[in-house]
Amino acid sequence: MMKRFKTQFNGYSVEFSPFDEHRLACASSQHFGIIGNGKQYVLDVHERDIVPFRAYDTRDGLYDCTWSEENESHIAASSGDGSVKIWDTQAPDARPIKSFEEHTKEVYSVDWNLIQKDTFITSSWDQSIKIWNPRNERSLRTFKGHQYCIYSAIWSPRNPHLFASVSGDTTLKIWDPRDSRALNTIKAHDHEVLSCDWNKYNEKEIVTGSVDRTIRIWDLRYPERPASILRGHTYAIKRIKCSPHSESMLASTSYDMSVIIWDRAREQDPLLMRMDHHTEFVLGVDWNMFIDGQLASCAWDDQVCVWNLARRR
Amino acid sequence: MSVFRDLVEGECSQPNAMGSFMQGFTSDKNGLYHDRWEGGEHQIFEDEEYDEPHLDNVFHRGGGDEDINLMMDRNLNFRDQDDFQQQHQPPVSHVAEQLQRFFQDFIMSTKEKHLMQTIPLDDIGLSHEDKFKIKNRTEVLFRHISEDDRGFTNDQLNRLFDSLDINPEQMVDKQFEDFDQHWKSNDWENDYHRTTTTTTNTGYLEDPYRNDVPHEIIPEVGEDFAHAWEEADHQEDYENAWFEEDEGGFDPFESAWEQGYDDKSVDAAWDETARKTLSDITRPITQINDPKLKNSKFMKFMNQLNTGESTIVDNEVVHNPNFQKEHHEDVQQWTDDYESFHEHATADRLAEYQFTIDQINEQDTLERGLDLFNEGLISDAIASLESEVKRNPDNSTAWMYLGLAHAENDQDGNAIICLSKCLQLDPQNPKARIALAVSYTNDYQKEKALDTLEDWLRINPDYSHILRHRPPMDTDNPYVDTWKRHNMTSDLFLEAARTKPNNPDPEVQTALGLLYNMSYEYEKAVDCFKVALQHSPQDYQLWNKLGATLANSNKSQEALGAYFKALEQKPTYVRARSNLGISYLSLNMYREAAQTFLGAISIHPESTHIWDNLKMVFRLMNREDLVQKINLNTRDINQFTDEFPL
Repeated sequence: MMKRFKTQFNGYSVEFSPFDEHRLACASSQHFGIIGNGKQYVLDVHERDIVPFRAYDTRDGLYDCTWSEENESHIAASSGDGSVKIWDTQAPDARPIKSFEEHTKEVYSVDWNLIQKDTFITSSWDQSIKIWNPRNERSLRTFKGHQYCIYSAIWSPRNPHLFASVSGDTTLKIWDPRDSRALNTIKAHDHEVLSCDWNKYNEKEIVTGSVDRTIRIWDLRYPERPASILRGHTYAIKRIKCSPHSESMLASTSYDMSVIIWDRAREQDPLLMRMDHHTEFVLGVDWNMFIDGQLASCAWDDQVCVWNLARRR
Repeated sequence: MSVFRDLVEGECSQPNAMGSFMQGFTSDKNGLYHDRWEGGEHQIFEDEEYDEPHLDNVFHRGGGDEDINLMMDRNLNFRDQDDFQQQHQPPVSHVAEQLQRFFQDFIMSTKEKHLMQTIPLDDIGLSHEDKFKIKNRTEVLFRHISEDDRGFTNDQLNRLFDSLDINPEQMVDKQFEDFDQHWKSNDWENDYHRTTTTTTNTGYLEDPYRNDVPHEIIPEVGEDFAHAWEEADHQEDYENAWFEEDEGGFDPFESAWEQGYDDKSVDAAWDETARKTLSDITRPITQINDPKLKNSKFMKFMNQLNTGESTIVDNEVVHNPNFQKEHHEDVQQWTDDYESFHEHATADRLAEYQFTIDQINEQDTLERGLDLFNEGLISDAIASLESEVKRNPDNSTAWMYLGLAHAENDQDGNAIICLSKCLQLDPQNPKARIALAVSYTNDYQKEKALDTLEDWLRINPDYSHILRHRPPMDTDNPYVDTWKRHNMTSDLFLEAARTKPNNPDPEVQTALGLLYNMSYEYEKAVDCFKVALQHSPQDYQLWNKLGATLANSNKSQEALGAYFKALEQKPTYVRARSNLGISYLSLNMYREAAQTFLGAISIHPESTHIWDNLKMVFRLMNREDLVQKINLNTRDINQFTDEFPL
């Protein structure tokens, strides 16, 4: 059964809480994030429906959100006005407890370090990536190297000293935050790369998705060509998330309005399922860490959907 | 695009709007832990620059004043959907609807490769900044939706721009090139490194991670950001051991790349990364000069890890077979040491104190260190106390004051290390324990703060019996609900308070005050501090805490009184002075605020945040000349003493 929640604005990103299996955050923007306000939702997924717990207004649109790994009530979101905000869901009012304003252009992604837990990383259209510790007023470090808008920067789930970033300059870069230059730059696609994610079970594997409609799997030991290419989407791929429960499964969303679940263990036809429950561009997807097979997605049709993959017998 | 710029560059001619803005902005939550940021984004729109009522429909949820109140009063516990719907999904305004349809058409038609309709849009009154945003974002979005087909691209985008009255020629981004141009030029070979030179606000207000108050209103940093970083107090680097500058230009993958992706070499590169990681962890340990430690097996093990003689593979210690070694039988021992080290490292981020001084200075005794501390010369006190602890590492008093000094300098990480050491040596030290709880709270380790407070109860003979009645902790659940835990701890302290109904224990009351601050129950916290103060009216830190709590609950006027009291007793108490300045600010008493900040600076000239606060006051007073003085010639307060006599 698919559970739905209607957001007031167009959804950009969904993230399940790392502490609470019922809690889901959704970052959204008015007018598709082109102009107007933003709203960060914190939702509770119940048996039959999704109930709002909190909602925070922001001046400009929100493009991504991430939960803190060290405090179950903290959530961070990145905004079009260059700021990154953190809210405490237990606080009695709606004001963010922190707002970092160093990026000079749209901050398109924010991701919390799962291992070190006290740092998070943001990437922006100002071509820089910044690492932050929420305690410090200023960012810890800034990384430059990309030649165009950066769309995503994601920490490795296994190695606290590794993160990846993808950009409109068509490259995937691998970084060690202790070095200011990227460890590796891979020309990943022929067109802008909008998303990437690490395989949670194989620390040398990373997946990228691009405007060129393909998903490419990379083995970082052999970066000159992708290990495999997944085709199936008919428009740009906006977000990719690897399953926390399976080495071979991943989910992708696209401007073709679908969410595709892939299972690479099925060599003949890795496209396991195509879901068309949205009627507009789908921008966010996430796997529930606690409930194997549960996913959430959000789209520009103002729907946040949560469903469970059927068990195969 | 910074919030501050909007606020500050407007004229101060509408004091009420500014005042209430500032109130929310600064006063709310200066204090022990919370940084609650400025009062409602909506209020920004009420200020001059945004005083365009027709825009209200676009950017508000349809209302005028009522919205502000909604924002303030709003109870965010959406127990029923209707309540939520009403507040978060109100009827959409006409303009918003238009815009939505307009953009939807743009998106859909782009997808289908049709030219969009030119929808006549009413004059929505978009600002230049808005148009700039729209232009950039639609261009980026456009490219993601459609293949690059020049003809179609130009026509489609032109239609969009025309409808919104956007003139691309006027939209040149001075710092960064026009996005579109950049994309088209596709000149990836050139490596541009543009430093971020705009005015950006860094960081923010009320911080749950901060200490007694500190509101660091860090206003706009007008200078080059890179420069600002250089200037910033780098003591934070102690905690950021992970981000050391790598001199060698270490790039293990580069050599792998060059060698043609030979399997071995890439694996070697990965291993090299792992080894480097380990040596980074172990290096600071191996550099500790303490003679007692040098001979320990643990240190020897650290040395081995550091030099690569041993390494960790899959959580086991493995000898590097190529390294000459004799002591095989000690492997087990080392593994054990490593395991405890590992826990320690990940849990406490290397709880080894990083000294600022290298050698012991004979003249720096404990006495001298205490004198300096009492005089408010915190940095000097730190150096002095460090000499003492190097000389006598068992001197718990020295460790305590060293910790207190770091806390006053907002270095809670260091404070925690020092106070913990003090408590290791002297577990019965209640002052250190409470201070440790405060630092843990600011450093965002709520659980540890609660642990510390409970320990305080446990070692106190009057109250240890209370803990015996506590129900056992649920150890199966790895995710502790800190709020539940908080309630439990608060209950314990309330019980403790009840054991002495007629003669309240100020320390219990202080702990309760701390706990109530954590849960945002300010009125209760105020009551507790007041009770504690009745018993210890000389405790200047308590007065400061009271002030901070009052300020957090929007009682800035009363907060002033508390700060005065604190300063009466310790005129060199920089933190209280800084807080006082902030409260003045929230009451729009700019001159007094400026004077107060200058006073604080005269005691502690290196404090960047107080200088930043001062800059902000000057901006609010519309005295750009004074702001410039600070920018050009930092740290000299004499330039201001004519106008603001101390």
